[in-house]
Amino acid sequence: MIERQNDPRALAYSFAFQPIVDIRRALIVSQEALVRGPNGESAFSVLEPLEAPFIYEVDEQLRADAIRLASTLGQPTDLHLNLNLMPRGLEMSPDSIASTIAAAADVRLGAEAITIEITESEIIHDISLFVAIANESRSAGVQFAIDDFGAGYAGLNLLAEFQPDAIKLDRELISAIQTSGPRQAIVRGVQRTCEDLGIDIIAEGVETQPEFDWLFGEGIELFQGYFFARPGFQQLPEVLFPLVGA
Amino acid sequence: MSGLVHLIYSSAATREMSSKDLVALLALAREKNASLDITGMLLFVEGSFLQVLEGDGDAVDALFEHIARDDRHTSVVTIIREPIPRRDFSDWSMGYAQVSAEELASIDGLNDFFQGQGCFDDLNPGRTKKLLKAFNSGRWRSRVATQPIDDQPSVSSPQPTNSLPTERPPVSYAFQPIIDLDDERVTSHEAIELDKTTKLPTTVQRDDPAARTQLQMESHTMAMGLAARLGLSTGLTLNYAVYRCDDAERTMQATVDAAERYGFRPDRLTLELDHDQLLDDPQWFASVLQQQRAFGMRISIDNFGAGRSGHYLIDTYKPDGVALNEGLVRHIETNGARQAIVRGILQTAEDLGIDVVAKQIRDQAEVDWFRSEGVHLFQGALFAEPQFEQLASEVFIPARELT
Repeated sequence: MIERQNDPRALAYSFAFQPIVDIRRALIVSQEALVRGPNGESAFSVLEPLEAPFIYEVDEQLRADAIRLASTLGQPTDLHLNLNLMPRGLEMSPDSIASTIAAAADVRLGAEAITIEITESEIIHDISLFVAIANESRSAGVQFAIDDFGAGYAGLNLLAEFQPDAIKLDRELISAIQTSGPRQAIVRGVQRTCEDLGIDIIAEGVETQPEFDWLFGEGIELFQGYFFARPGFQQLPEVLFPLVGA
Repeated sequence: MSGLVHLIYSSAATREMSSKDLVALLALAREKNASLDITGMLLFVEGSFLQVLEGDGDAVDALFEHIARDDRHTSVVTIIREPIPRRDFSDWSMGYAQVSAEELASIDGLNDFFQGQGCFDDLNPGRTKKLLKAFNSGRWRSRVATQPIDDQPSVSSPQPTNSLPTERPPVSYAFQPIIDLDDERVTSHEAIELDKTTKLPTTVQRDDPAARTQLQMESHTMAMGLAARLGLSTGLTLNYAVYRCDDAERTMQATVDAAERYGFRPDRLTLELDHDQLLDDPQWFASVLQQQRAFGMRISIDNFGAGRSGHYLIDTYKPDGVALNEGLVRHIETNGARQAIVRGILQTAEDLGIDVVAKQIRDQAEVDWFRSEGVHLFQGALFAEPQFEQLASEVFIPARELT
């Protein structure tokens, strides 16, 4: 039933939003836009039929549409969005972040309200080109996060060339971390590196109280996951903040 | 065109800095930086400087180049240089932490940056603030390093390749020692595959998996045969290119058979895994590795942090060692990002009892940095070049020459 598409405008999709929270300040610091089917179907169902290079065009269009949808759901003054980007798309279309900034400006959202999450399902071919383009948009105020950190896609060495504003710990590293020595040691090492480079750590995919307790006990303050809020289809979900010591 | 950037570095004072010296420095820097439209701050804590420079990229780079040569400080490490949308500082100031309030009050232009008013707390949250906080909590404090000894020849060594061509020209092996500087001995020799005629690293032909399996099986046998003929008495480190897992049992068995034939006890062998691909089933591959470890073979992850060799491998394989290569070791003494990455790896390794080998070391300054962080295993041209079909006859050990 799925047909190979090549017209981005013919594609049907919508978005869910999932909060990223700052536990100590009990604040939602951003909402990550997650692509969904028109009736809330999975991201996979939307993206799987797409092929390169068409998928990169869609990738750019998705960010603009997510911004437009979010702007109808919340006040532009408190809105901050995390938007995904395929790095290879940036290599093919160097203007694709600029076009995202323009889409944000259309709804009176500043570049500083945008964090680009680099989703790495492919290794970045040309790191220096990527860094040059990314740095240009940083001058405009856009922030960057590396998604799925530690999964083996975005190599640790990338941090030697490019220091993002945040990294998102891969959920494989977080899962049952309270009982896994190697995962704990890995997270402590990543914390050490990030602290020395002024990079925030976001623990994503946190689902249980013991996972949260361990991570928070180690000083991690930014979180995302079912434990705090599930993605809300076409809405910006509220968060029930866990009680933590002062 | 060069836009607005900030550059943050740390360094160690080469001599005592009194409040008076600092005020003089402040006055000088204010004047110079104002003329260049550079803002920022200098922080001095217990003999260490942390300086933030903000301004036009070219101007900042030129100033930094000048500053780096100033003999009032040494061990200058660039922590970060990146474009910024706006400045964090409106002018140029200096902070001096941990002096008495009276002393501060008496000196115009000097303030206790972390406790005083209108300083740290007023900064925009962002990289600068985070780094200053890290510095105040003890990070990036440079101590005056030991003087590097005379320049060592910096010769690049042929790098091992872990892949074999399908149409294989004759190959053979060079051996390069891995050295433990704590007890000044060679712990192992790594067998590096080279083309027998050109003596250059062999090249890769990816698309014939069956041939690759065959070559992988032969290569360990050949390397062990040669090592045995040369009378190797140390450990032996063998490369293993991990790119699929369905042949892992066969290739591993070939290695075990060869070890038996040439009289290598498994505990003398280290299998160094290089990942140029993600595996379909890393858990299964890990279980094959665990069988070998049960016999005493050591497992190490080569080129850690590069390509596909990420953190998840530590969780999956629970290796005995990790090797840091070119991308992390080169000129680490001046590269803050590499230092931060390596410190994180060392922290993880320490917590898990994993050995860390610093490879491809070319000069003494790199060794000094790793030594100061507690690393004691090394490999590289500084110590000994790979020797084709020979064991190294001489190994350079800093401070004295061993034969």
